[in-house]
Amino acid sequence: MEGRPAEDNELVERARQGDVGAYEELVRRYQHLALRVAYLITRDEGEAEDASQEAFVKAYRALDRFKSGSAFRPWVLTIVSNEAKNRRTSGSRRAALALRAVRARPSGGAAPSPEVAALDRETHSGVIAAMNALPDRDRLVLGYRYFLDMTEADMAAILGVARGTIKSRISRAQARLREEIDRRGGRDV
Amino acid sequence: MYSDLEPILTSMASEIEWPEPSTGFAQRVIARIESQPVPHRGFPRWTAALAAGAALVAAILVFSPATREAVADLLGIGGVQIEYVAPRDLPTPAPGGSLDLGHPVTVAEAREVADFPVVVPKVLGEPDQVWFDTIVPKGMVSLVYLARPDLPGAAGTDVAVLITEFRGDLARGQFFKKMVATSTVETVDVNGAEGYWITGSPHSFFFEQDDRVIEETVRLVENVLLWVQDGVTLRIETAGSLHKALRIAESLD
Repeated sequence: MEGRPAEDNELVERARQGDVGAYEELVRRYQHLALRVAYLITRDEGEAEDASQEAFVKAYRALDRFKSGSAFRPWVLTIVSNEAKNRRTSGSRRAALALRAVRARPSGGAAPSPEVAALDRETHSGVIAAMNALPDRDRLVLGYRYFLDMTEADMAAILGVARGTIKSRISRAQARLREEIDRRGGRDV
Repeated sequence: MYSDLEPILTSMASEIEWPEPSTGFAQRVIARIESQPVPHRGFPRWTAALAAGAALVAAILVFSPATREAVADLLGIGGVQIEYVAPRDLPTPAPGGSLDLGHPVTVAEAREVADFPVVVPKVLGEPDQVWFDTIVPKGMVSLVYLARPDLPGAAGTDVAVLITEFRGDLARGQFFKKMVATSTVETVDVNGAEGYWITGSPHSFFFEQDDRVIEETVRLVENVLLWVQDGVTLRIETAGSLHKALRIAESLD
C-alpha cells in the first residue's frame, strides 16, 4: 500500500473477508498497547504476553460481532483486558511497575542539572511504589489514563463502566494515590 | 485538588519499564489463527443449539477433553453458553474476600435504581449487604448473606449466600460461563423454569453486550443455581446443597 496507512476499519473489513494479512497489520498496530494493558493487569510479563496473544486470536474469531463503524482499538483492548484478568494468578509472584534503569551518562555529568534529575527520579520512584500498592481498580485507572494516555471513551470500554464516571474514577484514584504517598512519608511529592 | 500529581504521572509515562512483545508476536497470532480456522463464522450460535437442551449438557460431560473443546463453542443452552477451559484460565477470587460488587445500597434503594423488580428470599430474611453495580447495563443487584449457624460460609470468605440479579436480555446480550472440565452441570426445575445447578470447580461468568465482552469479577467459588425468571437472570451462589438453593429460590419475592 502506498500513501496513508489503512484505517483500522478498512483493515477490519478486509480481515472479515478472509484477508489474514490485514489482521496481522492490526495486530502489529496494537501489540505494544495490548501488552501494556495486559501487563498493568497481570503484572507478569509472561502472562501478559500469553493473554494478549490469546486476545488477538479470540478477537479475530469474534470479528463477526464487531459492529461496523465502531472503534477497533477499545474493542480489542477490552478483549485483552478480559483475557488478562482471567490469567491473573493468585499474586505469589507479581512483578511491580518499575522505572527504566537510569541511562549511563558520560562521566563528568554533562546532563543538565543532574540534581534536578535525581530529585525527579526519587519522586517518580516514590510515586511508582505507591501506585504498585494501590488496589487494581485505582492502579488500572491511573495507568490507563497517564501511562498509556487513553481517552475516556477507551477507558470506559475497557473498564466496562459508563463514560460519565471516568473523571470521578480518575480523581478518586488520584486521591488514593496521594494518601498512599503520604502514608509512605512522601509528603513533598 | 490533586492536580499536582497529574504532571508527575504524565512525565513518568516514558520512564516505565514496559515489557516488549516477543519477536514474531504478530506472526504467532496469525499462525494460530490459520491453524484453527473459525468453524462457524456467521453461525447464529445462540439459537441453533437451543432445541438440543439438556441432553447436550449431560452428554458433553462425558466427552473427551479434546471433543469438549471443539464443541464447547457451539453449545448454547437457554442463553447460557458453557465453555470449558483449563483451570489456569480462570480468575482467582480477590484476596481478603473482597467481592467487588459495586456500591452499597439498601433493598429499597436497589428497587429504586434497578430496572427490574428486585426480589429478596423470604427464608433468609433481610440481606446483610445489598450492592448495586452498573457493570451490566441496567444494573446488577447483589444480596449478601454472611455466614451464621444455619448457613455455612463459602471457602475463603465469611459470605454464605450471594444472590445476583440483573435484567437478562437474552436476545441481544448473551451470558456465558467458563468452567473447568471437572465441573458438573445439572439442569433443574426452578420455579417452573429451566435452570442450571453447577458444582465442582471454579467457574466465572461473562456477558456479551453491545459487542463488548464484560467479565464479571469472580465472586464466591461455590455451587451456583442459575435461571431466568420474568426476564431477570437470577443466580444463587452458596456452599449449601441444591435442595437449600431451591428453597431459597422458591422464597424469592
